[in-house]
Amino acid sequence: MKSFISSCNIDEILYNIDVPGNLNSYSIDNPLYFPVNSYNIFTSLPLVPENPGASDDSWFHFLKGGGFIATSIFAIVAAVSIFVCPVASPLLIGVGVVTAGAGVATGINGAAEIQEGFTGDNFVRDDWFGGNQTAYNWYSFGTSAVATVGTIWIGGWMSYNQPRIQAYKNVGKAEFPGNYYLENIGSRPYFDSILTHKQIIKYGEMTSKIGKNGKLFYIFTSNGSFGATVGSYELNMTSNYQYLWHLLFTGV
Amino acid sequence: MIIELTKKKYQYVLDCFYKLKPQYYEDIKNSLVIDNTIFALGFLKEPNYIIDINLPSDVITEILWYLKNMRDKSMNNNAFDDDLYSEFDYYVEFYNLINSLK
Repeated sequence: MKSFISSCNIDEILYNIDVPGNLNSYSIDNPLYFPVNSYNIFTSLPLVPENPGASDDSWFHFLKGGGFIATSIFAIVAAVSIFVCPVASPLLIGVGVVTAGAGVATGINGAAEIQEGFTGDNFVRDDWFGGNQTAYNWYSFGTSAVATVGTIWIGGWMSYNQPRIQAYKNVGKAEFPGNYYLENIGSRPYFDSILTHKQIIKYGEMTSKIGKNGKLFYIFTSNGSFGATVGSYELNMTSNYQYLWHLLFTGV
Repeated sequence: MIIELTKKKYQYVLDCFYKLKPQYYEDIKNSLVIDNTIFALGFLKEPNYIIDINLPSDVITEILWYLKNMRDKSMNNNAFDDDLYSEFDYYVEFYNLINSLK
C-alpha cells in the first residue's frame, strides 16, 4: 500500500474511490477506469465531469430543436399552401394564419433549443420567460402542438379537396361533351360564365360518384339563383377535369 | 297561366308534355297564340309563342316529384346512373317551368 501511494499523487487515488468512499480495487489496477459516479471524498464534487464542455442533456436539446424546426417548416409550408389555394374557405384561411404563427414561434423555439444544446443558454426561456423553465415548456410544447394540429388539419383538407382544387383550376379549359352545349345554351346562359362555374366548385358540396362504365365523376352542388328563381346549381365534371358532363339549375 | 316562349322552347315544352303528361298535350298545343307585334317592330329575333298552361296542383306536384325522384335515383348510393341523370338534365327546364306554376 505504501509503494502504491508513493507512485501516485493524491488526485489519482481520489479518482479511484467510489462513493461512499470505499477503495475500488479494480480501478486501482486499471488506470483507464474512471467511474462517472466518483466523487472527491472531501469536497463531494464529481471527479470526472459527466459531459465535459457541454450541458448534460445537449443531445436531447439538439433533437428537440430539430423536431421543433421540422414541425415549423411543415407548418409554414402547409399555411402557405392554404394562402395560395383558390378554393380555401375563410375558416381554413384562419387555420392557416394560426398555423403559420405557431410555426414561426416553434421555429424560434427550435433555434433556442439548439442554442441550449451548444451553450446551455436558451434565449427564449432566459430572455422572454425570465428563466422560468416551466412556463417555457408549456409555451414551447403549446406552440408545437398548435402547429402540428394545424398542419394535420390543412393536410387533411387539402387531400380531401384535391378534386375541388383541380376542378377549379381546369374548369376554364373544360369542354361540354357532344352537342350538349349547343342544345342548351339558349336556356342556360350560365354555360358561358366561367365565374359561375368557379363559384359552384368553390362553394358547392362535393360528391364523387362512379358511373355505370366505371368512370369517376365529381358533382358539385351549390345554392344559387337564376333570374328571380332561387334554387341550386349542379356541375358534374369528369375525373380528368376535361369535360363538364352536366351543368344545370333546379328551382326550389 | 299564360307563358311566353321562344319557338324552340315551345317545342321543347310540348315534347315534355307529350312524354310525361300526354293527356294535356292537345290542350296546350291548341292554346298557342303566335304574337308578331314586337317581332314586327324589330325588337325580337322571332315571334313570341304564347301558351296557356292550366294544371291542377296535384298534377304539378306529381310532375315535380317524378322528376326530382328521377334525379335522386340517378345518384343512388355511390353509383351514378348517367343515362337517368341525362334524362333529368333534359327535363330540368321543364321542371323549372312547372315549378314556377306552383
